[in-house]
Order: sequence, then C-alpha cells, then structure tokens
Amino acid sequence: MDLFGSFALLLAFLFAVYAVFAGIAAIRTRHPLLLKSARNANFAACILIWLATASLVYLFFTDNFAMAYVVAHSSRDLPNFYKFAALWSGQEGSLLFWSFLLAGYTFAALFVNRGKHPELMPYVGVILAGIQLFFLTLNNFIASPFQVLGRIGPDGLARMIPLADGRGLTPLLQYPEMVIHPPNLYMGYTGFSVPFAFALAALLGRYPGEKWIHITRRWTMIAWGFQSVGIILGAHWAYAVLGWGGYWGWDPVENASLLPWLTGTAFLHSVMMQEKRGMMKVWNIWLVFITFLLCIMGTFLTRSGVVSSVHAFAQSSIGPWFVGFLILILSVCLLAYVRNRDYLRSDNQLDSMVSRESGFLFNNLILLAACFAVLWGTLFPVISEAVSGSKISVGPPFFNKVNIPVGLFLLFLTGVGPLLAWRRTSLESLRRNFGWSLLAGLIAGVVAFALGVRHFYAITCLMLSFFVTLTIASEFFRGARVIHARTGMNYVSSVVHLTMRNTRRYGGYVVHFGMVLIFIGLAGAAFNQDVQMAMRPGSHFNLGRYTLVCQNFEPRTGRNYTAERATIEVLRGGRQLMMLYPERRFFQASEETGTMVSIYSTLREDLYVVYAGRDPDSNVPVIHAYLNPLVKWIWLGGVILALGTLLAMMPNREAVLALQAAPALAPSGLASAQVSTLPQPITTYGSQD
Amino acid sequence: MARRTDARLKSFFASRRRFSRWALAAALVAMVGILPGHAQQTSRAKILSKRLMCMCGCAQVLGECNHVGCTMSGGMLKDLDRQVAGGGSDNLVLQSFVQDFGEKVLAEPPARGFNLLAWLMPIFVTLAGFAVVRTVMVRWRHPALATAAGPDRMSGRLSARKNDASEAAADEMLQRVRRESGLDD
Repeated sequence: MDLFGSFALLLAFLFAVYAVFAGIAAIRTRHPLLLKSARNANFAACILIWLATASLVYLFFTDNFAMAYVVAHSSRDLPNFYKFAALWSGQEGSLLFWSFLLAGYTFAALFVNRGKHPELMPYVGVILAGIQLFFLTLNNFIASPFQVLGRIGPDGLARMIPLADGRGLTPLLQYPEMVIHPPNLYMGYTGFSVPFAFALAALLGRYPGEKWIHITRRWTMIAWGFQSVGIILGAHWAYAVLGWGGYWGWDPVENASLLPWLTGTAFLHSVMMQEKRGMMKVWNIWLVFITFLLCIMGTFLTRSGVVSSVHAFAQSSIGPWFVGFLILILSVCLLAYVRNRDYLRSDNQLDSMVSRESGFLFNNLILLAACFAVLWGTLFPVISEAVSGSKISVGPPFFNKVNIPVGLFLLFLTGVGPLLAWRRTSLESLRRNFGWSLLAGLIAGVVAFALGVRHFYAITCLMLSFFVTLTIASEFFRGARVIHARTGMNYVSSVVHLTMRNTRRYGGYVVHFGMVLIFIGLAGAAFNQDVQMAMRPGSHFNLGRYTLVCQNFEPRTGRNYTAERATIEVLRGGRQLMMLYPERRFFQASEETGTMVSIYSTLREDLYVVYAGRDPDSNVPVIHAYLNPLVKWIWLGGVILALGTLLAMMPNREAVLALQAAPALAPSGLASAQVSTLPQPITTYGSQD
Repeated sequence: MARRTDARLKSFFASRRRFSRWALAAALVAMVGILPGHAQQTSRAKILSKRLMCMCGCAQVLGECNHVGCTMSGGMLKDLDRQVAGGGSDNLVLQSFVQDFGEKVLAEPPARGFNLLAWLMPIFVTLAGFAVVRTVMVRWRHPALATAAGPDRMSGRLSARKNDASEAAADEMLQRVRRESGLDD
C-alpha cells in the first residue's frame, strides 16, 4: 500500500504536468481535443491524489510502522478517531491533505462548469493544475508521506524495518475538535484557490463583464464559511485544550488564518460594488489575488518556522519553496495585470458621499488596515532582527492595542453600511434608519456605566452591539411589516418569506448578528479574573460568586495515557453547584503531558479550572481557576455566523419556483422563449445584496 | 475462621488497590515531573506578567504560559513575584528582565528607535488609507476629474444599468418592500 500511495502521487504529478502544458497549448491553438485531454488529465490527477490519501489513511489504520510518517504520528493504542486526524498532524501529511482538498475543489469546479464558459474554463483548469503541481512537487520530492524506514543490508539491498510501535500523536492534537478544526481551515485556504483561478483566468482571457464574479460567488462564500468556522473551532480548541484560559493569543499561526479571512471578507463586500454598479474592478481582482497569496503565506508561516509559534506542529526547511511559489504567483498576477489592465477599467461614479458605495469603501479600508496591522505585527520581529539586529517580541498587548479600535470601528460600519441606500442617502433617511438604534445604543452605554462598568472599550462595544443588533432587527421588521400588510401573513412567516426572497442580503444580516455576538464575547475578556493556588484536599478559595473546594487528587488510566485528576467541588451561595474534574495526562508513547481543562459554562460566564501541575517547592498540586465572562457568546456567534453563511448561499425562493415552473411553459413558442430566460434570475438574484 | 480469612483477603486486596493507586500516583508525579505550577501572585505581579513573554520559545505571554514541559515560566514568575514584593517600580522590574533576557522578553516592542515603526506603521497605513479613500471619493464624485471614458468604460456602465434593470424586474416585490418600508430614497 505504501508503494501504491507513492506511485499514485507520482502519476498524479505527471498528469498535473500534462494538464498545465496541454492546457496552455490548448489555449494557444484552441484545439478541442487537446482542451478535453487537458481537462481529463486534471480529473485523473484529482482521482489519483484521493487514492494516495486513502492509502495513507489505510496505512494509519493498519498500524504500518514501516512507514516513517505513521511511526512519527501514530501508535497502536491511539484511538481510531485520532488515527484519521493523524493524517494532517505532520508536515508531509498536511501537505498531502492540502492536495487532497484542492483536488476536491478542482474536480468540482471543472465538473460543475463542464461545457460552460469555453473562453474561461481552459485558463481555470491550467491555473488550478498549476497550483496542484506545486503541492504535488512537495508531496513527491520534498516531503513525501510515503517514506519507509529501512537500511542497506550487507548484500547491498535496501530492506524495510518495521518498528513494533509508533511514537504516538501529539497530546495537544488528541482532542475531538482537532478532527474537524484543521479540515475546516484547510477547506478555507484551499477554497480560495477557486475564486483566484477564475479571477486570474478572467484577467488573462479578458473575459467580458462581471460573469466570473457570479460564477465564483458561492465558491468564495464556501471558502469564507469554512475559514470562519475553522478559525472559531481553532479558538475553541485553544480554549479547551491549551489551558491558559484564553481563546486567541495572537500567535503567528492564528494570525495566518485571520489574514485571508479579513481580505476575503473585504472582497465579499466590495464585490457587490462591481456587481451592482460596475465599480472597483481592479480593487476586486487584487483582493482575490491577495487573499490567495495570504493563504499560501499562512501555510508558509505554519510550515517554515520563520516565526516562533506554540502550535506550529510541522516545521521544516520547506520555507524557501513557499517563498518561491509566492514570488511566482505574485509575478504572474502582476504580469497579467500590467498586460490586461485596460480590461479592468471601471465605471467609477459616486452620486453622494453618503451612500452604500462609500460605506463599502470604508469597510474595505478598515478590513485591510486590520489585515496590515496583523501582518505587520506578525512579521515585525523578523524585520526588526534583520534591520537592527536585535530580537524583539510582538505579543498580544500590541495586537490588542492596535486592533481593538479598528475592530470597533468595523462593528460600527456593520450597523451603518447595510442601511445606507445605493447611490444616495438623505439626512432624513439617516435619521429615520439610525435614530432609534443610536439612542438605544447610547442608553445601553449609560446603563452599563451606571451599573459600574468603567472599561472604555467594553462600554463602546456594548453600545455598538446594541446599535447594530437593533439596525438588523429593524431591517427585518420593516420588511416583514410590508409583507404582513400586503399579504396578511403573520410576522414570523413574513420574516421567513422576506429572508427566503433574498437569502444573500438577509443571510448577510444573520452573519452580521453572529459577529455582534462574537464582539460581545470578546468584550467580556475585559473583566476576566483568575486565581492560582496550591491546594491540598479540603482547602478552598473564592472566585467571583463561586467557591472552589478541593476534594482530592486521584490517578486514573486511559487507553493510551495515565492521568492525575483533581476533583473540585464548586459552591455558589453556600450550596453545591457541581463537580469539576481537571486533569493532567501523561501519554506513554510520545512521553508528553497534556491538560484536560474542566469548564462550567453559562451565557453569563465560564468557570474554567486547570490542574496546573505541582508547586516546585512544596510539591503540592496547583489549581488555576479563571472566571471568563461571556465566552459562550463567541461560540454562539460562530454558530450563527455559520448558519448565516449557509443561508446566504441558498438560492432565492422565487428563483427556485421559476425553475420548477419552467417545463409547464415549454410547449408554445412564446413560452419557450420565456423558459429560456427563466434561469437568468438566479444570476441576477446573485447580484443582489 | 472463614470469615476472618475473607476479611484478611479483602484487607489484602484493598491495601493492594490502595498501594497500586499510590504507586500510579507516584509514577505520574515522577513522569510528569515538577510542572510549572506555582503559588498565587499579587495583582500587580499578574499585570506585569502579561507585559512579559515566556522565554521558553512558546511565544506566549509569561502570565499565560502553561506550556507543557516549560522550563522557564515557573522561575520567571517566581523572580517577578520576588521583585514585586521587593517594592521596585514597574519599569525597574521590567528593566531587570530586559537585562537578563534582552528586549525580546517584553511583550510589546519598546516605542523607540527602529521599533517605533511597529507602532507607527499601522497608524500611518490607516491614515493613508483614509486619505486615499477620501481622494477616490472626491474623484468619483466629480466624474470630470476622472480619466477619459473608453469603450470598456461605456460597456461597464451599460452592463451595470442592465444589471439594475434586470434585477428590478426579477425581484419587483423586494424592491417594493424596500421602497415602501422607507429604506430607499
């Protein structure tokens, strides 16, 4: 099976090479057979990559400890659940996983658009095959996951030496979320390849109009949705596993995932300017390019070890390859832009300074400013060392100081932007749309201040959250009121009807509401408390309204670890509330320890208890407890954001009905003409905001 | 007699269980070693611990580092506690860490020399961005200042108008909702 995997990868590499060169030749000669064979080579490469990945998974499940990668990341006692996750736990496997997911996107993009867009798709095929070729080069020749352990015998022949057991999976990765967090994030990273390929193809092929945007809108949203969910899951994993009481440490690897998300978010907004008004073509195409470049850069930061990180699991000397690839992509993008920039001339015209268009401009500015600040802070230690020779750190205090004001301004725009009208918004309209929401926000701030909240950013965040929530609610209410008045539907049905009539707009609002909840959760961090104490059985301490009493410490054994578990009784108002069981685990195979945090989570606050180890002097166990307000709102916001994204990707109800009605209209000539125009609303609905 | 034997056996096995539990606990302690747990810090020491980085290479703030197998944070926190208890000012305490570990120990770059750029660049870029957006808006507000229209420009405008028209026709009801609900001016 090891030979099968490496052979499949090698064959996939050859097919990808063919897909690139035959595709280029087909574009030049416009030979239909060559075009078809290039596309089929792309399909074949995808299938072979899937087979190679399946063979590696099989090697994990069959405990094949002759394979270096299996030995390094698995062991016999590793639960099957995690044997699957071991696939992407190391350098080689995660690169193969990149190829695997990219193959999925490539196959889907080419298959869904087969027979369509003949001027565009050959370019798309070449670009996607080119990206795949880079990863296949790494998979085959730089970091193969199919290397076997062996040595040269006395007869000069190489022999495989299977080991009795593997070294096991890193304890930090033995957590259920690690089975879903990395795939989500990778689906985001790889997913941005599709809009990138279409954008570059449109530029290279001078494809007319904004059609590439309509084609890729859902692809972009899929990638963005996965990236969002991946980031939220990653934060939850850090919170529940790393045991430091927080969820976002501005670690370079975390930052790397945030960068393309920020530019991708900017693109999802500014693209509406192009669809609706034919504006900002250059900006949009560069946003797509930058988003993809940041995806590759994120992978580079994770893999290269150029910046130190607590959870860069797979570092190696692979960095220069990624730098080379980044330079190559940037050069291709620049060249394509310089040669075809006249194609991107836009109809940029602003009717008023106060309009939806100006709102989008500021939205993009703020998102890109945040992106720059994060990138700058992440890379500054490297820049500083190169320029001044001195090593410095750029930690969470820097990122918080720089990004919190930017984030709050963005939250403000989240409320203002959607209610600004296209072309022009009058002062009367501003007063009507924002008056009550602004007033409610101010009242919320005053009430919070009266209740003793003195943290400036927290109060501002609360006021803005009220403001944005009410603007969103009023948008739903006003629409529903009209439908209610015209059709007699009740308000709930009216809201559903309204939402399903324009899923993109109202799904977007749901996403915004999810972001509001996330911001509220983040603001809660201003009021975090923690206590750390060496505890013997019977001792106790108070934290907020809770009393924590240490009951005992006891050993226990799991399938592939031994552990010491603390039993902590939690009292509130003198009455027992619950028992918490934080523990520290020791994994025999990898000889590493891991933390199992115990959390009592409510909408108001999280009581987060960590067994921090033993005091170096007294050898008494130390319990570290945190009281983190509003953290649950972040996870709730993440769920709502994901649901909103799904909603925004759904087709509008009217468009679906129109398509369903199509066959009945077919018989007459006139009806046939109508039928032929029927699918059009899908694309026009797609252009609604 | 049999009852006594049973009791002895039970006692023997109970003590065996107790023994094995203690043995396991001892093994764990031996294996896990002395972890970086330490006693309660004062609130000032806590605040200062979040302005310092752990020097084990985990890239975490000192006050939040519970990095598995960390060999640095325990000692650094103790040192911090000692210095805070000694009554030194915040700057003095931080400087003593800088003397021991270099500027890398500070969680944010000091705002002087080249490192001042770390703070200025995000502000500069944001302000420059605002200036660019303002300029762009002024230019777009007065199309006469914009570059001359070419054929593509015209086609872009036509396609935008076509989009608007088709959208209005396709979803007249929604347009009406927006108009009647006072959202469109």
